[in-house]
Parts: sequence; structure tokens; C-alpha cells
Amino acid sequence: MDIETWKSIWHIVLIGSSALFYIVVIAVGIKGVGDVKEMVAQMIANRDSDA
Amino acid sequence: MHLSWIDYAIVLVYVGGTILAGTLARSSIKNISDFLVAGRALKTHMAVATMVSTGLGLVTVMYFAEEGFKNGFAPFLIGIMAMITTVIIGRTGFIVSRLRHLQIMTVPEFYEIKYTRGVRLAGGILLTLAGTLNMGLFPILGSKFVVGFTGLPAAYVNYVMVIMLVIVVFYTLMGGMVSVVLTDFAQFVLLSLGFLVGSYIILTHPSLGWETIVDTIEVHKGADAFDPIGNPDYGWMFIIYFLSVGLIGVIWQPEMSRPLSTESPKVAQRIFWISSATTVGRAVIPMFWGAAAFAFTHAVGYTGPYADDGQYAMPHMMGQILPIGIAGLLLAGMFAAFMSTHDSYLLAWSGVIVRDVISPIKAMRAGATGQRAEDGTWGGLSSEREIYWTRVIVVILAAFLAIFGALYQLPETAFKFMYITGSIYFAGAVGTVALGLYWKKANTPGAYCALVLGALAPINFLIMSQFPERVPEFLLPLAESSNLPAFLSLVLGGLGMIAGSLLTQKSHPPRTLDFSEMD
Repeated sequence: MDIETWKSIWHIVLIGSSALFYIVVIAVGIKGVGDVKEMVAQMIANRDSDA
Repeated sequence: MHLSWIDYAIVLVYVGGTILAGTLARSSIKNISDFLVAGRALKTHMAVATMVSTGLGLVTVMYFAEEGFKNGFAPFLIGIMAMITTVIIGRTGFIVSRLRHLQIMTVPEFYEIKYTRGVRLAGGILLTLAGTLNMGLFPILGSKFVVGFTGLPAAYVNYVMVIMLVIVVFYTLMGGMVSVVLTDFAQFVLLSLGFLVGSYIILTHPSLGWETIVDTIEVHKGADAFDPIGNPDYGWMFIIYFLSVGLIGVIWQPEMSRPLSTESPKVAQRIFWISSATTVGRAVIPMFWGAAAFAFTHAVGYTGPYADDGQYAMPHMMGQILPIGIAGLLLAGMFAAFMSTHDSYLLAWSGVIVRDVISPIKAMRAGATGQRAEDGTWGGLSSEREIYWTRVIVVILAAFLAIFGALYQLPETAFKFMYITGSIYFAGAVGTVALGLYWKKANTPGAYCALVLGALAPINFLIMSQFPERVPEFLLPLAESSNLPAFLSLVLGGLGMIAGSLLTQKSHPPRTLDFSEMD
């Protein structure tokens, strides 16, 4: 393949992979907050019960 | 210095917050399972966030940026190959689901279930060697980022490394895997935001932008910077090796800690499927930053010190072009990434040393039976002593990392070093883990052959590449580039298991594993 074709491929790869990355990050970030809250609440409950 | 007090304040708030979280996490630790695999309570999204974070440490950003600086756009193929292998694992559960089903905490534990305690000990020693060498460059690369980004003189790099290590060790000692998971989540959010803003600023900066970066790379590096097949640093041998190691590399303990910490084998498989969508971006975005750093440091009028340094150039560029506040956010994100990777790796390797080297030796000396107890121990150290020794080893490992990082001279790029050191263990695991899980004839002599033969070529490369002038001419192909030894190690590891097992089936009948009840 010539250089121009490679340049086009890598441009598409950069844009496509960045988009996929941020979509997953946003989705997982929003849903994962609930898991984090639950874990922190559990830790605080453990600390209080130990005290 | 390029940064303002606002940037440093953001970093300090982040570090303070994580230390507080570590202190809270300490109260959650009741036994070794809580400490090493967070009590196996991770749900899907938390597990994905923590797994993506582990694969997106500061060191990953640094070594991918170095690849982009050195080889332009050609290494983008690495990201695509990583996605292919992660999709395969996500769809099939290859290795991951079966190991999770066996309820192990470290990969060598599987050796005791499938083979013998001796194989577990040998595997634990090799994994320790590979893991600690592999991690040897992490602190120094992290420190180079901070030094390059903040504009501190390069002479401070070792002092910065020690300060960063002290913070990470303190944090890891406090809460074990629970702390790790919490930092991972913070890093996941902060670094992703940093990636987005950083890439936008590079693409819209008046002296950078896509066209300028591509043109500069083409002028200075030619076609090799775009064509991964023609580039001598990659080529077909590297591609075959990388695809194979991508499948087997899942057994790398810090990576495997996540699926082993999940609620079930199904969740273990699912996190690979979801995170596969991020794998290309995780590699390609920092590589693009590296290529941009090359253009930045080769622009007309650039008078800075990093035009030939692929490790300092990217952070140096980011420190120069990011506005106040955003620079602080990225630095906090990168520091989070540094902490996340280091605490994961320190915990993973110290866990292996204690559970797969120290504890089995104690169990052998005590003549304990090879049965797993309720608390996850195997007749060696008690659960409390395992936590104690894991913490001690974390401190010893950190001291080793500081010395190694300051003294070691890299034979190739940091990325290639990571893979050749990983291959010391990956190669043997082709036979011991992949064939052990899926081939009924895999037995103990085969496992020993796989471990020993798989480790030979990478160890040989690491030694010979330090003294190339003393290597005989006929051995030079094994010392000049890591591609051939890395590829050879996988072949030898797999063949070792097959030959060793087939020749000893009668004297060492293989143990059968039952996966019929796996959900």
C-alpha cells in the first residue's frame, strides 16, 4: 500500500478508536458510580462496626 | 516551570483524597481474599473501569508515546491487534472463565490444582522474575513524565521517582485490592477526560494539527512511519508474536487480578467484551501524542532539550501547550494512572511471591497436604501472615524498583522491554495454562519443560543485549532485536508442554479438571 492509503487508514483508526473509547468510558463511568458508592458505604459501615 | 499554583492544588487535592480512601479501605480488609481480590465482589462496570485503568497506566501512556515518537503511525497496528485478541477472549471466555471458575487468587495456584506444588513454586519464581523485571521501568518512566511535564531539571528525576513510590507504597499497604479498585475508578474518569482535552488541544494547536504532524513525520521518517509491515521494528514475526501473546497475556497477574475479583466466570468474561472497545484507543491516543511530540520538537524554532528523547518529549510538549487548570487535571490523571498501575502491580507480584513462593516452601517443609483451606490458604502461611508478608514484600519490591529504574540501560524502546520481560513467563504459560486448561494430556513434566524452555530465549536476550560486543556472530540475531527471541519463546513454551507430556503419559498421568458445572 502507498503512504497516502496508510495515512487515510490511520486517520480513520484514530477517530474511530477515540470515539469508541469515550463512549465506553462515559457509559461505564455513569454506571460504575453506583458500584463505587456501594463499596464506599460498605467500607464506612465496616469502620463504624469496628469502632 | 510551566504550571501555576492552581495546577499543583488540583494534584494535591487528588493525592489527599486517595490517601483518605486508602485509610477507609483498611477497615474492609478481614482476610487474604479481601486483600488480594477485593473479596471477589466486583460488579461488571466497576470491574471494567478497574481493568481499563490497569491497562492505561502512566507507564502505558509513556511507552506508547515513545513508540509514536520513534515510529510514527506504524505502531497503531498494535492497538488493532490488542482489540482483536480482547474481542476473542470476550466472546469465548478463553482461559479467563475457566480460571475464575477454579476460584484461584494467583495464576500459579492453578499449577497446584492441575500439576503439583513443585510446578507452582517454579511458576511462581518465574512469574516473580518476569513481573519484577517488567515493572522495573515503571517508576522511572512515571518520574520522567512529571519532570518533563512540570519543566523540572532532568537531574531531579530520581528524587521525584522516590517520592512517588513512597506515596504509592503507603496507599497500597493501607487497603490492598480495595484501595486499588477505588484509585482505578478515579483514574478512569480523570485520565479519560485528560485524553479528550489533550487530543483536542493537539489537533487545534496552531503549530500542530493532523496535517502538520503527518507531514513532519513523513519528512523525517519516510514510509516506515506509516507501514507496520515494512517497518523493521515490527513486521510479520512481531505481528504473529503479538497476536499470540495477546491471547495468552491475559494470565499476566495484574491483568488477571480483575477477572479473578469478579462475582462469577460470566462477569469475568463480560468485562473483556466491554473493555475490548477501549483497547485501540488506549494504544492509539498516546501514540498519536508521541507523534505530535515529534512534530513539536522538530518544528522550526524549537530550542528545547528533548528533540531526540522519545520519553521526555511527550510530557514536555503537553506541559507547554495545555492551559492552566487543564494541565493540573491531566497531571492529577497521570498521577492517578501512576498510582493505579503501581499499586496493582505491587500487590499482584507481592501476592505471587507470598502465595506461590514463600507459602508453598513453608507448606513443603511442614509436610502439609495440598488441600485448599476455607480461607483460601494452602497449608503454608496463615491468612494473617500472608497479608503481613505481602505488605513486607511490597516495600522490598518498591526499593528494588527505585534502584533498577535509576541504573538500568534500555536495549530497545520501553514497550519492547515490557514484552520481552513478560515473555519470560508468557511463553511457558502457553503450555502450562492454555494447554493445561484445554488439553487433557497436559501433565507435570510437560509443565516443567514449558516453563524452562519458554523462559530461555527472553532471558538470553536481556543478558546478551547488555553486552553485544561479546556475543558470537551466529547468535547475534538473538541479541540485536527482541522480535526473534520473543517469537521463539512462544514456540518453545508450547512445544515443551506437548513433547514433555506425550513422552511421560504413563509415568505421570495427567490430572483431570472438571468444568461441567461452570455457568
